[in-house]
Amino acid sequence: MTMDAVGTFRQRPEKLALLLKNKQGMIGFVLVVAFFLSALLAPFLATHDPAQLDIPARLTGPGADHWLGADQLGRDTYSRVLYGGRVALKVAAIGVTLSLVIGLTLGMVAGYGPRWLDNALLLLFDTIRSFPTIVLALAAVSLLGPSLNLILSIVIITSIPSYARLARTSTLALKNTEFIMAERSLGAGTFRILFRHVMPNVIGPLLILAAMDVPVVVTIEAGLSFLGLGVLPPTASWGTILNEGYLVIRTSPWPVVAGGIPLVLTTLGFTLLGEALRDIFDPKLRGIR
Amino acid sequence: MLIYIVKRIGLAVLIILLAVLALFVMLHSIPGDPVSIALGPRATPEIQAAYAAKMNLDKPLFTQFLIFLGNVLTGDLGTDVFSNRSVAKTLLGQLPYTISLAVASLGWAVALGIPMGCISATKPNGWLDRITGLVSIGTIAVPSFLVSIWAILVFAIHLNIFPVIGAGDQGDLADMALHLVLPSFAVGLGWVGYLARMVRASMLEVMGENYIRSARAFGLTTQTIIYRYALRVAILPTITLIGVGFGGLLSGTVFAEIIFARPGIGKVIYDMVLNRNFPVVQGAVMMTVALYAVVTLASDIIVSILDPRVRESL
Amino acid sequence: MTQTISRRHFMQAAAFAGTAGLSGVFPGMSFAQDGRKLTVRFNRDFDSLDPGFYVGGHPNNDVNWCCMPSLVHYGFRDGQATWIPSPFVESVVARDSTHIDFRLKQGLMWSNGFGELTTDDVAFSYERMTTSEWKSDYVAFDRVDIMDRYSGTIVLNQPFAPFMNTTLASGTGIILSRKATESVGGKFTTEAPATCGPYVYAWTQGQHVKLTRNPEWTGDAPYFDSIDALIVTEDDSAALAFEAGELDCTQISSEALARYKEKPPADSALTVAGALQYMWLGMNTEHPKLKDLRVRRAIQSAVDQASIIQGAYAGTAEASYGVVSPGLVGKRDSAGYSHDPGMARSLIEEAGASGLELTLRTLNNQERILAATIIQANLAEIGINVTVMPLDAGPFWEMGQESKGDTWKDLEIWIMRFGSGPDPYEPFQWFIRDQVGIWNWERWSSDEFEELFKMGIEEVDSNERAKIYTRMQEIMEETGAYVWLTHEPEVFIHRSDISAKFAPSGEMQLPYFSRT
Repeated sequence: MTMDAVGTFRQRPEKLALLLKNKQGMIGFVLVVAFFLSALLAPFLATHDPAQLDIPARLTGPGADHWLGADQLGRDTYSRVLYGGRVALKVAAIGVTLSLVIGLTLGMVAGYGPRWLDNALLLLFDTIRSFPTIVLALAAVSLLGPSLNLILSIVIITSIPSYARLARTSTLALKNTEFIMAERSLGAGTFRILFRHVMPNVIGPLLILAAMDVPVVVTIEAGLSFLGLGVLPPTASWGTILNEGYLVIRTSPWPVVAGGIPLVLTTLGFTLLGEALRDIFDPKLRGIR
Repeated sequence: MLIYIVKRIGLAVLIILLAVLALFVMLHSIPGDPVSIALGPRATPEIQAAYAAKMNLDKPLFTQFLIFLGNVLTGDLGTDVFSNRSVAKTLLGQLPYTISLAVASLGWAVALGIPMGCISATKPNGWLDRITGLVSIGTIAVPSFLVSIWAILVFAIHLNIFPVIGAGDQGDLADMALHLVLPSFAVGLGWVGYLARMVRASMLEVMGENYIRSARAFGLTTQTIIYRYALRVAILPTITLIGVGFGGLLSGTVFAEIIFARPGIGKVIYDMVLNRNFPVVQGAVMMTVALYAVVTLASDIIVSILDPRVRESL
Repeated sequence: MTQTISRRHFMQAAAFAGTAGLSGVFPGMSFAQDGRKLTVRFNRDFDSLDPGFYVGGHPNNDVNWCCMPSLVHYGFRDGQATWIPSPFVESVVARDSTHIDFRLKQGLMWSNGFGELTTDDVAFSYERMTTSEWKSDYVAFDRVDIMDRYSGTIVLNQPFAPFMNTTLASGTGIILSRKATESVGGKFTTEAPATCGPYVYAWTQGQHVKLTRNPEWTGDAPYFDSIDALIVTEDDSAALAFEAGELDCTQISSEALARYKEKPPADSALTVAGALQYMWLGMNTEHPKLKDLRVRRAIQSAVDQASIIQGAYAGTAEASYGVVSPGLVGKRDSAGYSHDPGMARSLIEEAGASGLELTLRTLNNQERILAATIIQANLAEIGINVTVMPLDAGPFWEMGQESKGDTWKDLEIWIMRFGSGPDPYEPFQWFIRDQVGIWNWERWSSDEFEELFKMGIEEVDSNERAKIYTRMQEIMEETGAYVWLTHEPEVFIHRSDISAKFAPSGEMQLPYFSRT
């Protein structure tokens, strides 16, 4: 697969044209862009302060003032959904970036380093993967109490193995190629080889994986916040909107619908985009998830 | 073959050992008195003293770990500080609920996913294929806890056709099955898409093989071939999926058990997290890790028997 | 003993007034019929039947009242909760303010071959309570004088008005078998060594408690053959299940109550078991950030109680002005402060505390989180920045206790709710000097308060008691450490053909349930 990857990433322009023609990919792209924009521009798009209480307006349905209705404290659901996107974006951006960087590094080290180190790291990855994420998160919350940072740490720790394994496989395939051998014989240090020569050829598939990993990360945050073990009030997150909405599900279905739809659109967008990228740039990645 | 299986079992054992070590380290790396952390602050001094003696807290850390490991391996997952019951006993009582939920979820995935995969494969890139493709992606994208909430909203609140809490009357199989419908649907839905795609891919692959070509030469239609071979072709992806997705499935059952107030391991973990009953949480985590390891092990071995290509990867 | 008893007052006077013909009789089987099955809900898992060392309250008491003896139960006379002799006794008579005579029924047998229920078991159980975690209920208890195998006299060391209603009739008045309890080393949790009552129980952890008729029971028969108590922690799931017909009776959240008041489900009835709970925002008077009385006063004036009642409790909770719950002697009708953000702001400026950062700790349930969110917004208005820290039950209930770690030192402000029995004495016991670092997390004390507390125990005249308890609440309020929030009612919804009986503290008295 890696030789393909090495080859394919040298032909980007044609591939990008392919992406533009891929309908699912374009839908995904639009959704992803909408996610980024709505989160980044939340302060401008919101009609209310997401934490502003307005008790008399509690549980009003959608209308001119509250486009998606108001929750039990009279807070504007539309604005809270927008700001909830920022939490999702933050978790996704930090979580995915850090796990990618750490996973990439560990994966290259495993692939390029000595056999014993490779085996040890592989074992470590398999061990981490043997903890179901939510179960691990619950255990950690029971010891340390809920916080956004804890969620981030759990997300990062549990995502590292998939990046690392992918980076390792690619690195192994590159290790004995002529071009790396040539570098080595020219006296390039390990560090230089890894970061100047291996990384550019390994990172492509990881970026695709990252796109497909965003839904997982966003869902973990929303899920834990839904259980009341995630972000703290008054921060709005899609999970807390769902949590608070579930309490009044009989009186007003709007919050559970409004908190759920952006979550679905975001996961859908990243999945569609990720899969399109994968199909175009690296079809052989199909087995990884 | 045998070498692969032995290696694979060795790996599973090693992973379980490491997971136990990881838990042990987690417990001991948190600042504070390990006894209070392990038992939670509500434990009485007697219980704390008994625990300290049992865990040999005066001995070096490594000895402590060996003792801890010994206890775990002999099935002693500790004692619930509150009820004074054996954690293992408590969890074993809950395990059947989680397993039946997992199996029923798998049932949904198979019942919906395999036909969808077959339909797509009949005419690749036809309009049916496109629709099922979109549906597949949709089911993959919706988080299971959201399916649970929405399923409650639609089926329990607006249509009022399915029970929403508990596992049903013990002994009344029909009632228990009825109580399984919504939660297993919520957990299983996410798998429908994966399974449909894997079946589609394997099906297309198989279509190109010699015996299918000869079948076709004998005048069998594509449909007939697909449905005749469907089950056979679908087995491998299903088993592979169980192996790869079991962790996700367990996470899904945690949410379904909480939202539908069903008994099960996930519910126990959640309740015990809320009560800060760490011995039970720890025991439950070890049990899920072991369960996961065993399931992936079984799945890998079965896949390796069915599909020799896999063996090379270890 | 001249006292006026308003309609809603629980009759603590009855504690010494005898029983006037009202006594507990289970509804019984008027005719044999199979399949009298009741399905109810427990809000949380059952954890112990041992009245000395359990966490108390629901659902442990609910199970205890089905399976264990006590001398008196709660009954209702003219719609008011009061104690009544239980079906375990021939009679219970309060002879005077310190002597209670009782006579047990004969032939009530303990399970597992531990023999007959006798006076000795009563003496053993109450004496054991005086050294238990619930000994505060037994401060006035001196001894049980044993007359014979079935009769005896409870002797108090001082008049103690609440004894019948908040001690004997509550969960801490449960009687154990001496032999059986000693056979398991003196303590137990979920597996009682011997039971004696109309039902026997089987518990499946986290799932349900199944109560079935006790074949050895020779007393009055309860109506239902079997009761399945499902453990459902989420109020909303329970309300849904009730509507779907899966439950016959469940406690409901304030949100559900508001909804049902408007549009009740078919064939259902609402019963208010009591509003004997008081919730407040507490402040640690010793914390450096809160040492200044002006800051605490500012917080009192900044919190908008009306918004909390509307926003977090859908308008169903009663406004609170102290620790004495509605219907009890000494309940206040207003507080000495009012919602006044302007004044609060100037107090903060005066104290130079603008930009103060506080941590608000609360139990992690949805209503409390909503209340905390409102308080957070209220305090933001006066320049106090609040971080809400939701905690689960375990750590929450330990945070102010010195014996449970060091959190009490960092404790700043928190939302707390206590429940009480139907007597005003009960709430005050948690705020006396001895309770600093145990349950008095606000960490203040006052000589006048101590003095009044002692007077309140001995006083039997309810006008005098009302004065004492009103003054005590004023003292609490003047510390600035309390912002009174709500009295949350315990409301149950049940099928309208079910006659449901509750203790005023909100537990179900299941053997008294029947279907009409």
